[in-house]
Order: sequence, then C-alpha cells, then structure tokens
Amino acid sequence: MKVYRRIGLLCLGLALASQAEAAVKNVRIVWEANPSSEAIIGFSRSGSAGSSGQYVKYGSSTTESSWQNSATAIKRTFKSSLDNYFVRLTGLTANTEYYFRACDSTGCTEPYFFRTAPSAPQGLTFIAGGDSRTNRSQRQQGNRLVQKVRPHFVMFSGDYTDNHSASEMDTWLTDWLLTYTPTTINGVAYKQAYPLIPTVGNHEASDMNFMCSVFGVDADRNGSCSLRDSYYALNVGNLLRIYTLNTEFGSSQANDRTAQRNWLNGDLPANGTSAQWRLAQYHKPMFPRSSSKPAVHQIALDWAQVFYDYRMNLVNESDTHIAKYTKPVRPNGSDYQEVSAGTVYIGEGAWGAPVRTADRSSPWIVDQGSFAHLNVIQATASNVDIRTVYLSSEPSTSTLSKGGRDADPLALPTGWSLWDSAAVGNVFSLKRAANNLTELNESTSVPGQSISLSATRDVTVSSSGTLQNGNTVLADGDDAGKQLRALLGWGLTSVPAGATVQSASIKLNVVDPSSGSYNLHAMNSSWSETTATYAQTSGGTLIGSVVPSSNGSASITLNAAGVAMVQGWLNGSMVNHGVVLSSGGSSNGVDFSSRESGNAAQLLLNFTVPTTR
Amino acid sequence: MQRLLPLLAWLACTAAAADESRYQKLTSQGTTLPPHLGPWACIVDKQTGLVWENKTDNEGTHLDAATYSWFDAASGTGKAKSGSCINTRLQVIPCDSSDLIAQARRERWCQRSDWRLPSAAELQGLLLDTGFIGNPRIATGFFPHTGRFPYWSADLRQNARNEYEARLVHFGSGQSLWLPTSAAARIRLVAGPSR
Repeated sequence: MKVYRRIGLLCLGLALASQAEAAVKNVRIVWEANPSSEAIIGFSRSGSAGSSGQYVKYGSSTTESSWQNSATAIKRTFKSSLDNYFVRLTGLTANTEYYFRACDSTGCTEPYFFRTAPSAPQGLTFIAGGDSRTNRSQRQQGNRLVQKVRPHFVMFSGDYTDNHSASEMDTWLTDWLLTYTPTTINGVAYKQAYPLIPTVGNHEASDMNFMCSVFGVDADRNGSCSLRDSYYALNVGNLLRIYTLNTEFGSSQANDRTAQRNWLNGDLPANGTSAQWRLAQYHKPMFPRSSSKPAVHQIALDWAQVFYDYRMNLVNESDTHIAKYTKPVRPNGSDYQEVSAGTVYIGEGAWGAPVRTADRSSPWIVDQGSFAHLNVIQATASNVDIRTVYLSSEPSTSTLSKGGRDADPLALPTGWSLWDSAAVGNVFSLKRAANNLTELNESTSVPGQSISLSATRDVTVSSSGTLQNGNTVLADGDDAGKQLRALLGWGLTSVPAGATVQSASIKLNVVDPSSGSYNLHAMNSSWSETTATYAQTSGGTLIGSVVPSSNGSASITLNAAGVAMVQGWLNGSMVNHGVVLSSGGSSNGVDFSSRESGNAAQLLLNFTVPTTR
Repeated sequence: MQRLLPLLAWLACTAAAADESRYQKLTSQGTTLPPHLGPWACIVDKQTGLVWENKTDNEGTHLDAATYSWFDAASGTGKAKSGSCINTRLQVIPCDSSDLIAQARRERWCQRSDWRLPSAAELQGLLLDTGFIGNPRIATGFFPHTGRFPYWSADLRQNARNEYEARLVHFGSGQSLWLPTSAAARIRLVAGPSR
C-alpha cells in the first residue's frame, strides 16, 4: 500500500513539475492592427518535446482564477525548424493591462503582462530602431535599455539577424526577452512585455514570410502567410498612424512592389487623417548617409511624394548603421529639398550591427554620426520629441518604475547618454505645422549644451594615513598592504545657472592601467589636498564604475544617483564634496594623471538650460 | 569586345608588374615573401620605405570591415570607443584608432612596434586607378580586402564649433574628406617615420 501511495505522490509531483515547465518559450507581443483592442501573442516551442494544444491564459486582473483560455494557437514554422504559435486576442479594452501565460499540454510559462494602446488622446513614449544582426552584446544592451524605458511599444525596422536562420532567430527571440521589465505586483513576479511592430530588412529577404511565421503578422487576415503580410498600418489611438513598409521586394517581386505602392497610395489619403501624426518605418533609407551604400534606394524614394502630399510627419529608416536627423524636407527630383514644413527622416539603425562611416553630406541634414543607438520618441498632440540614446549608456540608465510609467506616459529614465546633435542638442523637438506636416520646434526646443571641467583638486589618500599629491593620482586595493583611494573635485561656477543635467561622466587619463574594477562614490565630507584622510572616504553613494584596462582615456558614466548628485551640487541642495575612486576588490592598482601634471581628470556634463528663443 | 580583351590583359599585366616592383609582401613575423606567395600580413612600399598593415577577412585585430573612431590616447584628443572592431577573443567591441595602434604594437605585427595612423598624404600615395569599375583605388593584388570606403588619416583640425575633425581618404572615390572624430571609419595602419 505504501508503494502505491509513493507512486501516487510521484505522479502528482511529476504532474506539478510539468505544470511549471511548459515546453514553450520566447513569448512576444506584436501589434499589427487595432492595438487598442487587439494584440498578437506569439511564442515558440522549446526543445523537441512533442507538446500540443498551445494556448494563452489571460485576463485583465492579476487574479489568475478569473483568467480565460484563448482558442488553440495557430502554429507556423520558420525555416522548417522553429515552431511558433500565435494567439490573436481581440475585444480587449483600450489602455488596459492584460496578464497572461503561454501554455501547452505540459504547463505554462511564467506570467507576463502588457498594456493595450489608449484610444483617448494621451502622450506616448515609444522606441524606434533596427539592425541588431551581428553585435549581440550591443543588441542585448539595447534590449536592456528598452526594459528600463518601459515604452508603450517598439518599432523595429529590420535586420534582426545576419543569416536569417532558425537558430539565429531563436537566439534573437531569446534576447528579446531582455526588453521585458521584471515587475512585482501583489507579491507575484511578472514581466512587462512591450508590443513590437516588426519590419522586413534585407537580411530577411530570403524568407520575408517570417513576418507571419515568426511574429504572427497576418495583415490581410487570410489565415496564411504571404508577402502581403510584410506591409501594414495601424493607429495608436487617434494620435499616431504608423505605416510599416517593405523595401526588400526584388525584381522578381515587381507585382508585390506595385501592390504595396498602390496600397500606400490609397491608404494614406483615406486613413492618414485618422490620426494627428503619421509615422512610417522601413529598412533601406531613401538616401543612405554612408558612401558604402548606394546613393539612393529607389523603392523607398518612390514613396517620398505621397509621403509629402499626405502629410507623413516622421520616418524611421535603417540599414546603414549610423545616426541621423534630417530637417523637414520634400522630394525634389532625386534629392530632398529643405522646407519649413515637411517630412522628417531619422535613422539609420544601429541596435547591434557594425557602424559605418556617415560620410555623405547634404544640406538637409541636421546632424549624423556613427554609434550604436536607439531612438526614444515621445508624442503628444502638439509635439514629437526624439532622443537618440547611446546603447553604451545602458548600464548607467535607471529603470523607470511601473508606478512612474502609469503616472506619467512621458516619464523617462535618468542616467543615460544622449546624442548631442549639432544645432539641436539632446532633444530633437518637432511640432505639427498648420498644414499638418512637420516643423522644427524651435520655439520650445531646449538646446543641449555640454561642458568639460578640469579637476580643481585631487589627491591620493592611503589607509596608512599618508597623502600623495604629485603628478599622478592612484587607487589600489592592495599596495604593499595599504589601500589607496583617489579623491577628485571640480568647481562648477562655469555651468550656467538653471542648468538641468542630462548626463555626466568623468574622464581619466590613465597612465598605469588595471584589469580590476574600480568604483566611484560620492564624498560625504569636506576635504582638501592637504587635509584629506582615508577615513572620510567611506560610505558615499556608488555613482559609477570602470575597468581602466588600457592607457589613455577611461570614461566613467555616472549613474542616476551620480547625475542627481551633480544636479544637487548645482542647485545647492547638496554640498560639492567631489568623489572618490576606490578598488572594487582588485589589488591591481590604477594610476592616472593629476591636475598637477596638466592633464587633470575631467567632469563632462551634458545639460539643458531654459531658453526663450 | 574581342579586340579589347588583349588590351585589357596587357594593361593588367603591366599594372601587376609595376606593383611588384613597388611593393613587397611580409609575413606577420616580418619575413619577406615573393609576390605570388601568401598569406601576408604587411606590405613594404619600396618607394617610401613605409610598411603598411594588410587587412584580412578573418575575424580578429586586422579585420577589413572593422571601424574605429579617431582617438589619440596620449593627448585624450578625439572620440574614444565609438567604432566596432573585434578583439583577440573574437568579441565585437567598441573601439577607436588608439586601440588598433596599441594592439598592433603589442603584437609587434611584422616585427614593427612603430605602428601609427598614416597622414592623408601617405594614404593618398596608395591611390591607384586600376581601370576596373567597382574596384577600390589601390593595388588590390597587394592590398586585398580594401573597401571602397573612407579610411582615417592622422591629419587633425578643429572646426568652427571647436570640435576636432580628422581627414579621411576614400578608396572608392579617391577624394579626401574631413569628419568629426566620433565618426566610425576603417583604418589601415602604417609603420615607419612620418614624412
């Protein structure tokens, strides 16, 4: 009898274990149409388990017992081996959180939630970018940045992977999970997922049906995958109408290319006015900004006139792996012409792909550069503001809380580094012109400024009680049994009054590198180069870290607490006691130039000041 | 067209002979190689005495497609870590010109430790119209894996905004241009005294 009881318990245990370990993975949310009331939930089969009956359990409250089961998911296989399942949720309530798990016959995933699009006028924060195909660490960094922004949705303009293989796409989908923000609600650990609006890139040209088989897009609602699923439009409330277009139709797909153009030529006049702003995304730019690309992509240029005629406001392009902002433009033959009100083009995709030289200059360019980035865009009825964020600043970027996002749809994290583009600054601000095209928002845009300040005091303090104030400043976890810490301070009188710090970093000129990690903390008490003590260097807030692994410049980006500290110094709400650099555990010391050497540590500030221009 | 073929063949042979009289292949250990042998890591320009880095499509320090921002670590001038290159562990990392120079010096690539960015004039000295449309403007027999792209030179200036710009030589157009040091571009290092 005991044996049967044990077998029964074993079976129960196995059943519970299988309940917790569904053979599905890589959950994603996709918007293709009507995002106020619809969403596609996709997921993939994990391993080779022969599970069946895939579905989604979901509800609009965290009370799981009230959730309903969807219909059985539709299975679509990518490249013969990556099995994906899709459930299209319909009849959803606008601007509402939906909680769900993806399930199969063996169990369910961990719980997720997403928010449907608002139907009423409301500001939106969303992300646009593309080209994540080769530099996986940068791709993951960008994904973690998404997690920290908690955007309403993400526009991805193509080139997910390099070879468009099933294994590469599987890895990409796994990396996409990094965009989800761990969020505890009523004691339950959820992840907030952000709807993706996907696009075809040239690296997907070998199988453009992936839009349907990987992301579940079925633009023509015919229940099967076709090239018609690679272009579509959706409204996010009545604020945005977003067009996703396909630049990858080749010569053998001339009919599809024509069909897309005809669709666009019909949809923009008919539906473009259903929203206050019209946006588009596609992969290949009309006029790539690198000479390593063709001077013009005709398939995209074919859209320029209908864009202008029917008030396309903002276009996100990709493919070149550079950053750019254009002025408002209209087509002019095989070029653009700058106009006071026109279409603004941004891009060109560097979310984990080798950056190229932005070496094509044009009079209609505001600025262009070469660095890994994504664009954080904020839209209201009157303005669209674009911030181009360096992916490298992800570690110092704060994570916006759920409460922060719920309270303010335009809330942003702190601690990131933004592109300080020429004549624009950190925020590229646009407004709608009287004719509904786009104008530069010069009346309210806040120009970004930057300043580099040399340290006005620096000294090395030793745990042995000595000071060292020569041509180098040192930090070391074990210097013949002593610990060395470097104190640095700057005067801030040259920073304009009223400055709001957007980002801050400290640059050291390393003359003896270390493979160890070094931490930067706020100093909490006053010191001078002759009175500083080792004892007073402990206890300050951690504001950054660095591995100064090579001679030359080493940059420490200050985290949110560090930016707040500098802001406090400027406001007078905190006393400017400077900072201290100390070993994070390494006994491999670092030496860097002191102010006495003439190459002092620099405090670099990016800031804005109120303007009335 | 049939009449043109012998002419094209003659032109190609003449160009190859000229290249062979000017350039000398070196292994990564600095050993000379005859023109028909490889692989080679560097090229000696017998006209100038300069030694040039050969690029490769193998992932690693000398990858042809790697890009770098322009940065002088000694003076802190330029923009650090804004290109994309591949380190010795074959990881894609952000990098700048000083990183490539430091690595080539560490490797004693071709037994040289004086690697540096070439001047624009030195780079322009490599320009060669091969007569073949679509080819980069360089002696491709000795400098394979050269892109029709701009390559950084050491020439530096400050623009009207007091920002540093460096000069590039474009091996597609043959033109030179100035770009902010934050731009990402390819590099071909040179060793030998600056002219």
